Amino acid sequence: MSELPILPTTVIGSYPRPKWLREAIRLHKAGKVSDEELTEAFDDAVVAVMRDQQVAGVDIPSDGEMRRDEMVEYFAEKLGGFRFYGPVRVWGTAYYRKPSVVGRVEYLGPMLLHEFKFTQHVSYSPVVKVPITGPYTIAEWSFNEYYKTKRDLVFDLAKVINQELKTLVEAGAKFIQVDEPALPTHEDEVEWAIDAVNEAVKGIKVKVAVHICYGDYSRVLRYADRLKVDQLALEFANRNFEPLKLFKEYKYDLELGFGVVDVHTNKVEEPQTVAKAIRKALEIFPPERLFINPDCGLKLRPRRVAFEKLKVMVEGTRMVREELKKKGITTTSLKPIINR
Amino acid sequence: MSVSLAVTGPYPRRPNFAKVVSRFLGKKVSKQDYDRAVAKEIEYYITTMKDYGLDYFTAGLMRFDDPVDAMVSLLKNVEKNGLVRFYDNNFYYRVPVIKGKLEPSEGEDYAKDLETARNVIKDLKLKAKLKLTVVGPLSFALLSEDKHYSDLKALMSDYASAINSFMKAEKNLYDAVEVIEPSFFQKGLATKVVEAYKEVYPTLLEGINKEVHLISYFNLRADRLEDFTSLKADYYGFDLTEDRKKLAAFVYRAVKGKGVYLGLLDSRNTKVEKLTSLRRFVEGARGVGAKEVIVGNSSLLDLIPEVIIHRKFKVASGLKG
Repeated sequence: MSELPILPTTVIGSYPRPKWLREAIRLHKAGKVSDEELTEAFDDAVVAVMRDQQVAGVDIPSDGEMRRDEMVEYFAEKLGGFRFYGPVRVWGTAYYRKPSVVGRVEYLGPMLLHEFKFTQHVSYSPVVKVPITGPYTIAEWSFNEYYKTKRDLVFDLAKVINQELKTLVEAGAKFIQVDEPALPTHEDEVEWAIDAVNEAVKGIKVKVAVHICYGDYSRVLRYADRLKVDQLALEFANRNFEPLKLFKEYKYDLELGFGVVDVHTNKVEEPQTVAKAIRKALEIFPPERLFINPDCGLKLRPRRVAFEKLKVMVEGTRMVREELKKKGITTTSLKPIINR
Repeated sequence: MSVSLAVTGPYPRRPNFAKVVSRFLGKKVSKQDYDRAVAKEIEYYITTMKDYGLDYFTAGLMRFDDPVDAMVSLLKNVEKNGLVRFYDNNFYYRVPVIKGKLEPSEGEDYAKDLETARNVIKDLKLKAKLKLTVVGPLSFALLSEDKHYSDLKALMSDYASAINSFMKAEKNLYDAVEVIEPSFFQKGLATKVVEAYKEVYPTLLEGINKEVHLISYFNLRADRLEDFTSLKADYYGFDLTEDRKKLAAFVYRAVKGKGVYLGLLDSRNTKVEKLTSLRRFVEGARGVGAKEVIVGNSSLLDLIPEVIIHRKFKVASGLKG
């Protein structure tokens, strides 16, 4: 299926784990739930999360990243060359097991293949989004004990991510999202970091988005002409859509994954607010180049709030779709717009 | 001349203690029980770190989410807002929103923690000094959202006065003051801001007759070193973890005849330093005539796992042998 409704609604990736899954994980850690039982719980959670997205009306769902504790840790556990020393705090009372690179990064086998196949199998939609953490973010959010330079590490990671993406595409993945929230962190590294992202997606002939959030987008947009991805999926609602104006300043003719609901607050937006924001984005982007998503993953919100936010996102989008329908604009394409 | 060892800034909140923090915030733990848990953490931190022969401890700041949060507890007319990246780290702090004139609050929680730390040091019969950690006026101002002042200097000045009040009120609880200024060497800092800061800085320390450690984190700019070392302090602290040979050369030039804090234990990497390398830099500082040398962590210890902190300080303890 290469045709999508105009302004396709999608997610960034993560979704709150159901309470019973968190309990199953806790019991598994305590040795009271077997590996097999935990796998079943993960599978059931994906079905439940898929159902939430279906009821909310999301066009391109994900598996909610039910199996991933954290976006860097998950991949570091599955690659050679990483080691974990212990948790590191990210803010307040939130921690992650920040990995250390202690040897050459190695691809040990598919990391997301099972996850993707199961998601595809239980999906109500022929297209699911497959998020994968990008090479720069994995490197930036790890400790580098082995490589002489961060750049060397990032480019080795790009090679293994590329290998994984090829495996996923071969298995039928149609929409890949490379998560690179760290990309704008260091102004002087953005240019080569973009080259590394390009290396990671080289030869990937399906739709590819890059997700960035909570950073200075201008650092990336000034190199937009180098980016070999089809779409930037970005956070906007958290900043009252202010960064939209940057897209007038910089030459950018790729697609935009437009963040219309804030994932850092439990306050659920109004559909009218979403619709208004989309109309604002349509002043800059042609409708065929606009996808609609939340700002970021919804995993930190209560499940009820996450669901409501998705519903509002869809309702607001539908309002604008009606307006576009009157102009005869009803569909867009899943085909990649960049030849990689 | 001997080498001293020191911790700068907070000590990491351990995950089990973080659960107590969450329960306290969720009103499931009483203030009394929470204070007891904080005291236990401070005791744990000093007790486990004492084996490395530290000459300076801080109070650990475990009660607070980050050093900025600790300062907010000392101020009136400030609210905490959303999470923002702490410089270029994957660590986030709550932005203080300044809604009115900055005035001192009682700061009883911070005072309580200083008292606990002081008592632990005393009970363990350690000779170590206790440092009061404060975020410098420049960094606090730049890390805040100002909804009251339209003048950075006025903001810094009121902040410095308010923190100074706390320092004076609790002067019996600590032996030294460390002023952390991660923003001082950040790119793009205008000269007029630095000049304004130079005028405000004495307000912070007015009437405080204690040893002062002025410590920068993360960056180092050769063109601002002279400004930095022109501020009154007993020790000047530098993060010497990136491109350290080059940076050390600049620092050596600036610290002749002064006390220096060498942030050689990388708080942003798990790779453990070699004792020979630490020795080389200490000798370098001595060679150029630094009056006294302290070695310690380069920035927030929160940024590395606790097990690595111990490995690093264990190696550094070899400097004293």
